[in-house]
Amino acid sequence: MSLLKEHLQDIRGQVCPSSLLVALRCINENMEAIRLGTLVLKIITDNRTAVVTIPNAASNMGFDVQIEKEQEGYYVISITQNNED
Amino acid sequence: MNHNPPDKRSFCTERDYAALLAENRSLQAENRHLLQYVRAKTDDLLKVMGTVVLQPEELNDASLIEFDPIGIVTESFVQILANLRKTNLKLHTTHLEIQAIFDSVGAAIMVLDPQRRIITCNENARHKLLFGTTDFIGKSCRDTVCRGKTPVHRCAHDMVMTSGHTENCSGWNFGRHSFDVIGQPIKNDSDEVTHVVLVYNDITEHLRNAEALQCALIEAKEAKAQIDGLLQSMSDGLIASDSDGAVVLMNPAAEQLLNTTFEASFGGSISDATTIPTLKEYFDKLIRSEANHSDEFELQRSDGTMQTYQARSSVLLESGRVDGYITFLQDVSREREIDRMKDEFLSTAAHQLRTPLASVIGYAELIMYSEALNKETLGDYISMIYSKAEQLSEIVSNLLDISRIEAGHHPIIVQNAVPVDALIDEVLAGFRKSCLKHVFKVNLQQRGLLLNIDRFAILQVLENLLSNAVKYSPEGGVIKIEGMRLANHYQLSVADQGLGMTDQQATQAFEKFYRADSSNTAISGSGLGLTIVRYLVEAHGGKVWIETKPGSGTIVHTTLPLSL
Repeated sequence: MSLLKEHLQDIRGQVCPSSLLVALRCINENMEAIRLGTLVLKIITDNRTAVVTIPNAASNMGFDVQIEKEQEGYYVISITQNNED
Repeated sequence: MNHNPPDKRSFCTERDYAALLAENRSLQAENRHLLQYVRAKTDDLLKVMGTVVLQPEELNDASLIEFDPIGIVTESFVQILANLRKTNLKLHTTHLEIQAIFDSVGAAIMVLDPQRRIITCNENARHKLLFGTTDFIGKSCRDTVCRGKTPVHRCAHDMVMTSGHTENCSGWNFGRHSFDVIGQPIKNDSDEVTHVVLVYNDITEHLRNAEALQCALIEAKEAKAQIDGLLQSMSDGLIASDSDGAVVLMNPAAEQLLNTTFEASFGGSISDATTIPTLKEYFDKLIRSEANHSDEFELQRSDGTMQTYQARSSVLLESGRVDGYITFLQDVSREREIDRMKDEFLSTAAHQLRTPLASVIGYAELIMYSEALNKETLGDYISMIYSKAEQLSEIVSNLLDISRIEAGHHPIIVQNAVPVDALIDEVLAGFRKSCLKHVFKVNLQQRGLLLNIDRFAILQVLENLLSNAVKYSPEGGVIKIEGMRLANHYQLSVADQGLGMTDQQATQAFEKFYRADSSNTAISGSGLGLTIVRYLVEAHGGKVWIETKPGSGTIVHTTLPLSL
């Protein structure tokens, strides 16, 4: 049984920079759990600019980031523990 | 409770009210100023984060304070800085690791800028290319490494700058060293070459080793050629096989004997290399037993003749395990023929020795046990004993002569001037006394001629020739001795009217133990007389040959040196 939890933050409808600010606040609030590797933060957005700014910011903060485009036209940005930590 | 608004005039004066309004306007202005400040700083931070500025319709003033974007971004910046510190630490460690590799690697490494200026280099480059120069950083490699000389080969730096790709430059000679140079570009985001890393691999030792290897290879090839030559020229057949009995080597002699080729037999079982059943069985037994073997076979040669071959096989061992087999096929026909002739000779000699010995014993017994023997009878008996003893002595003498020759103890030939007629008179005197039933004739072209010979040796030659002529001539037969002077030597011949010989018998007559008709035991002889004749004549530098036909008698010719 996996101990990994998921936290979904749906910010569809929001544009940058507010979507970035919401995502950063969410990252800051879950910082410890992500760093420990017990939580995956999944941010759901439909803003193309946010698909660039959020991953850049998360990566600069030292997290691993993966982006998946869903068929419905939105993106899921997965932020996880850096494997090198 | 009364919720009606109070009448302002009931709490303060007009003046107070004006002051409050002014204060309120001031506070509102200050609040706007603060909000503008927060928005401006938020926008600054968002720009740093790489995004657009915050629009008032996205977040109104009240939400702005409550949402606290500066707090959010600041906290994120703390994380970003912490991550940067960690990344810097990793970079520093990586830098140290790369520096350690850079300095300890066997190759000489230089990093140049596009203008060939040295940015850095490792210890090997300082030692091998810069010869301990210290102030090379920023200087052109043309001045510090090539030292103004134009590179013999194309410059690796120029090649990389031209192509923009990794380039190799082989055989770059510098001082007493040879290098293979690999040039690797480092590019910026615009795909422009900003640095060129040159790696110099010292191949001097490698070239020396390659040269030594080449020499060793040539020597090995020469040795192989010698061995091949040896194998090709060997008259014995040689077959080598591996531990499973598969053929790995076969020389031409073996190919001929087994009626196959090496190419056809290679890799196949050694038993399958021959169709000769006995030999096939021999090879099968060899592989099964894994032990040394030898046996003899009758094999047909290419000329159709059957010869006796001896197969000798040795097991090759490597660390106690069978590694292969070597088989020699040697023609032992000659040895077997000699063995046969020796056996025959021993049988003949024993018979020949026994016959006169029986006579000697018989006559001796008669003398011992007869009570009344007159003087004449006694003389006859003693004469017979003497005659048979002489016969025994001749056989034994011939045996001793041939054994000396066989052992390599050549009798010393002492040549003197000897008159040929006196020599013939001397040898004939004995024969004329003992061989009364034969007629001896002498025909010399020139009497009194001197030969340069060993008198005793040529007396033995003539005795052997005359003895043979007597043995193989019918009673009353004429035996002729003829002599004639030729240009450089004297030809002396002995002719009889005996049985004569076939060409093959004449050819073999000089071989040891050979007797033309060994089945005729009535004729005594060891089969050594002519062998001794040939040896003694040749020791004088002369020749001996036979002229004969079956039923037409035999003439043995010899040539002897003249005394000058």
